Amino acid sequence: MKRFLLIGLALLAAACAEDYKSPWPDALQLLSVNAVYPAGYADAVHEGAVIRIEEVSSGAAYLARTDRRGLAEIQVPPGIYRITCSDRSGKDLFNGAADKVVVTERRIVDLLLSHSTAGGLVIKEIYCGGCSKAPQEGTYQSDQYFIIHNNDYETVYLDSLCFGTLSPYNSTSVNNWTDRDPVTGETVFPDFAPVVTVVWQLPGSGKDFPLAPGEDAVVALRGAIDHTLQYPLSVNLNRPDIFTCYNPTYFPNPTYHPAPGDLVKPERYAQVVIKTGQSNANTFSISSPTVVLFRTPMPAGEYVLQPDVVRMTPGNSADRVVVVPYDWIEDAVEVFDGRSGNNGKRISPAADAGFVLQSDVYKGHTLRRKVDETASAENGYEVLVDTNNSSNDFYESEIQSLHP
Amino acid sequence: MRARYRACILSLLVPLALQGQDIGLLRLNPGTGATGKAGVYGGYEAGGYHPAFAPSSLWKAGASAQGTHHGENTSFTGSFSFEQIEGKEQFTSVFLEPGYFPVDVLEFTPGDKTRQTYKLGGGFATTFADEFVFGVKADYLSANYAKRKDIRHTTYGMDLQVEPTFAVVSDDIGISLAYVFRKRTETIDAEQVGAATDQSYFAFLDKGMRYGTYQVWDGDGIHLDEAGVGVFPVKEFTHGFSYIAQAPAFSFGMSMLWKHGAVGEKGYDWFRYPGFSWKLFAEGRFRSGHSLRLDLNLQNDQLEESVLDKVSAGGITTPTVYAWNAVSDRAWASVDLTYGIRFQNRHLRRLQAVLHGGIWEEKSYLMYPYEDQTQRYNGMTTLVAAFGFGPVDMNLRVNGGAGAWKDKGLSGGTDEVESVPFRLTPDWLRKMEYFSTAKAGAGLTLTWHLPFVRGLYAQAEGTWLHGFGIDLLPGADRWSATLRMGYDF
Repeated sequence: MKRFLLIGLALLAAACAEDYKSPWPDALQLLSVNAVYPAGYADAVHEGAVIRIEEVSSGAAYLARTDRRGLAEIQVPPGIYRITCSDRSGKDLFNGAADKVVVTERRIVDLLLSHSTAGGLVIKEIYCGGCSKAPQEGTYQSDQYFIIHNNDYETVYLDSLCFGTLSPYNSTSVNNWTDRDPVTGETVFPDFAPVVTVVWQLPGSGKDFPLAPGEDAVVALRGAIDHTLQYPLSVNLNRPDIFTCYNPTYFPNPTYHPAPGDLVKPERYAQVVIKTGQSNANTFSISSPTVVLFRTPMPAGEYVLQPDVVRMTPGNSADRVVVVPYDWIEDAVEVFDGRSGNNGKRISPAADAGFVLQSDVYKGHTLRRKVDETASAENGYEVLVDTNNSSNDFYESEIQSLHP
Repeated sequence: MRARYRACILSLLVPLALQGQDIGLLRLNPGTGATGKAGVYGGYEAGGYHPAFAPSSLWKAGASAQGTHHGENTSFTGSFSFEQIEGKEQFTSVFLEPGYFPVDVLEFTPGDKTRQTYKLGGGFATTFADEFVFGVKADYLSANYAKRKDIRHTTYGMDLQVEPTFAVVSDDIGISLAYVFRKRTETIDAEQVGAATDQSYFAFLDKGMRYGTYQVWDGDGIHLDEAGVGVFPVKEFTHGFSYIAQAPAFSFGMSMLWKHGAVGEKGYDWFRYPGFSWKLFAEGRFRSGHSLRLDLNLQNDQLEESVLDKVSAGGITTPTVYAWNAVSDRAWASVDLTYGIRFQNRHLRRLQAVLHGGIWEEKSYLMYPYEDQTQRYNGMTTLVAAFGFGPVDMNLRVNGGAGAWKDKGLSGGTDEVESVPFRLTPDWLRKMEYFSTAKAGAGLTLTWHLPFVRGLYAQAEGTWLHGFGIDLLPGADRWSATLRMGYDF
C-alpha cells in the first residue's frame, strides 16, 4: 500500500514537473547599444566603456561593455529600460542617457553622448526630504537646504550665481516638456531646462562671496533658523556663512519662511530674479527635485524680460517656467522618488545622465556627492566625484551633514 | 432494452469522478418530503503554532441553516451561513485565503482583524422523461476582512459558482455531467490614517516563493495605492466540467477546471495567471461495512507580470501594456487514501483511517538571469473512531505527520548583473517551518442529543495540535474549543 502511494505521488510529481522549463531562452531579446561620441571626439571611442541598462519598474540592472567600435550587446527580457553611459578621458566627460526604451523585440539604440568637463562649482548635498517631528507627532519640511562646493583648484565667486528647480516638481508627475520618439519610443528632451516657480540669485557685485578650493556654501531653501530647538532631528541653519531664500514680498508664508536667525547676515539673502509660480512659499519637492546651478551671460533680470524666455507649461494654465539653455548650467542633479517605479527624467543627459534615488521622505535622509579620495589626497583639498551622472556621483545618507 | 441502454451508459464512464456535490444526483432515490438542519456555534482558538498570517488567538461565532425538499419530480435545496471571526495580533497576508492566489501582499504591523463571511447556496433538480434530470446549483460567498490599525486594510471577497447539470438516474444508479463556472474576486483597500512617524510602514508584494518588492506601502511597486486605481483588485474566472457516477457500491468522479486570473483594473493590468486543476476520486463500499476511497488532486498555475508604462499625450495618461514576462510557476499534487469500517456494534459505530501525501514544486524567475526552485513534501495519517453511548455520540481523532522541503538556491547571477532579486527570507523560513515540522494532534467531539426535543442537539468540540522541533514559530501548540447547538428537521 505504501509503495503504491509513493509511486502515485512520484507519477503526479512527474506530471507537475513536465511543464517546468526556464522561460529565459525564449523570452530574451537582443539589445544593441551604439555609444555615439560627439563631433570632434571620435578618437575617444574605445573598448570597455560601461553601458548600464536598468529596468525602470523592477530595478534590475545590467552592465555591458562596448567593443572597439563603441557597440555593446546584451540579452535582456522584455521591459522598459533606462540606458546610460558615463565615460571619462582625462578631464573630458562623456555622458549619455536614453530613457524609457521599450524592448519587446530585437532593438538597436544609438546612445548619443554629450561632452562636458569636470566643473568648478558642483552641488555637494541636497536635503529636501524633511524629517520627523519626534518626539512630537508629525513631519517637518521647513528645513530644506543644499550645499555648493568648489571642486576646482581656483577660487570661484558665488556672486550672481542663479539656481532653481525644474518642472515638473516631482519625478513621478506627468512631464509635459518631454516627448516620446514615435519610432524608437525614447524620451526626447527639450533643448533647454525649464526652471519652475522662481529663479533665485545669490547676491554680490562680482567678488563679494569668494569660495576657495574645497570650500562649501550652504543655501537654506526655507527657514534659516535653528530648527533643532523645536525638532531635534532637524538641522541648525542659523549660521553666519549661510545664504537663505528669504523674501517676504514674494514668499510671505511664515511657517516655511520664518525670519532668519540672529546669525544670518542680510547681505546673504538670495534675490528673486523672477517669480513665475503662485505659491506663497518657495516650492521645492520633498521627494524628487531636479536642482540646477547656472549663470547668465547678461544680468539675469534683463534675460528674463526677453521674449519667449518665460513660457507656459503645456497643458497647465497656472505654471510658467523660465527657459535656461544647457550651456549656462554649471551643475545639475536629478533626484528620483524611491517609493515609485514610475520616475521619469526631467533634465537632459547632457546636464545629468543619471539620477540619485531618495528612498523615502521625512526620514532625515540627505543626498550627498561622493568624495574622490585619490584626487583629494593629490590636491590637498576635498575633491568630489563629478562625472555629470548622479547615479555614479551621489548616494543617500541617513542623516543630514548639518545635523548636530 | 432499458437494461442494455443503462449498461451502455455505465460502460462509457471514465473511472474517477467527483462525489457528493452534484445537484443532479439529488434525484437519486429522493423520496418525498423535506429535511433540514440549523445551528449556531461559538468557539475560541489560541496557541503559537500557526502560520504567520493566522492570529495568535481568535474568537468566532456563526449560524447556519440548510434545507432540502423533494417533490414528485423536482427537488430543491438551499443553505445559508454566517460567521464572524475576531483575530488578535494578525499581520502579513491581507488576503482571505493566503496562498490561493499566486501573488500575495504582506504588511508588518500586528493588530486585530475582523472577518465576516456570508454564504448562500441553492439549487434545484427536476426529472423529465422518466430518467433524465436537469438541475442548477449556485453557491455564493461574500466576505470582508478588515484591520483597524495602520497599515489598515479592508479586503472584500466574492466567490460565485454556478453548475448547470445534466444527469441520468435510474433506481439507485446515476451519472451526471456538470458545467462549472466560477468567478472569484478579492479587492484590497488599504490606507494609513494615523500621522506619519519616523518609522515608515512597509509592505511586501510577493510574486512567488517570497521573491518580490519590498517598499513603503503606498509605493508604486506594491500597487496598493497606485494612482488611477487606488486598490489592489484580483479577478479570477474558472470554467470546466465535472463528471460523476454513483451506485450503491461505488462512486467515482472527475473534474477538470481551467482558470484565468488577473490583478489590476482600468487598463492597469499588473499580473495575469492561467491555471489548471484536475481532481478525481473513486470509492468502493462493501456489504461488510468496509469502504475504500482514493482522492487525487493536481493543480498548477503560472504568474506573469506586465511590462506596463503610463504614456502621456495631450495631458491624458494612458496605461499601455507592451509585453508579459513569466515570473513564477507552481504546481502541487496530493493523494488521499481513506479506509473506513462501519459497525453494527452497540457502541463502536465507525473506524476510519486516512493516509495523505502531498508534493509542491515552485519556481521563481523574478529577475533575469536568476532562477530559484523549491520542492516540498508532506504526509499525514489520521485515525477517527466514532462511538455512540445512548443519547451521546463521541468522535475521537488523532493525527500525525511530517514534511520536508528543499530550496535549490538562487542561481544564474554573473558579474555583469548589478542587482539581485529581493526575498523576504525570514517569512519564507517561517512558512517552511510550519509546513515541514513533525506534528501530532488530537480532537474530541461530544454530541448530546437532547431527549426532550427530537432533533435538538448540543455539541462540544476540542482540538489540539503540537509541533516538534520549533525554532522560528512563536509556540509549539495550538488548541481550540467550540460549542454548537443545532436542530435536525
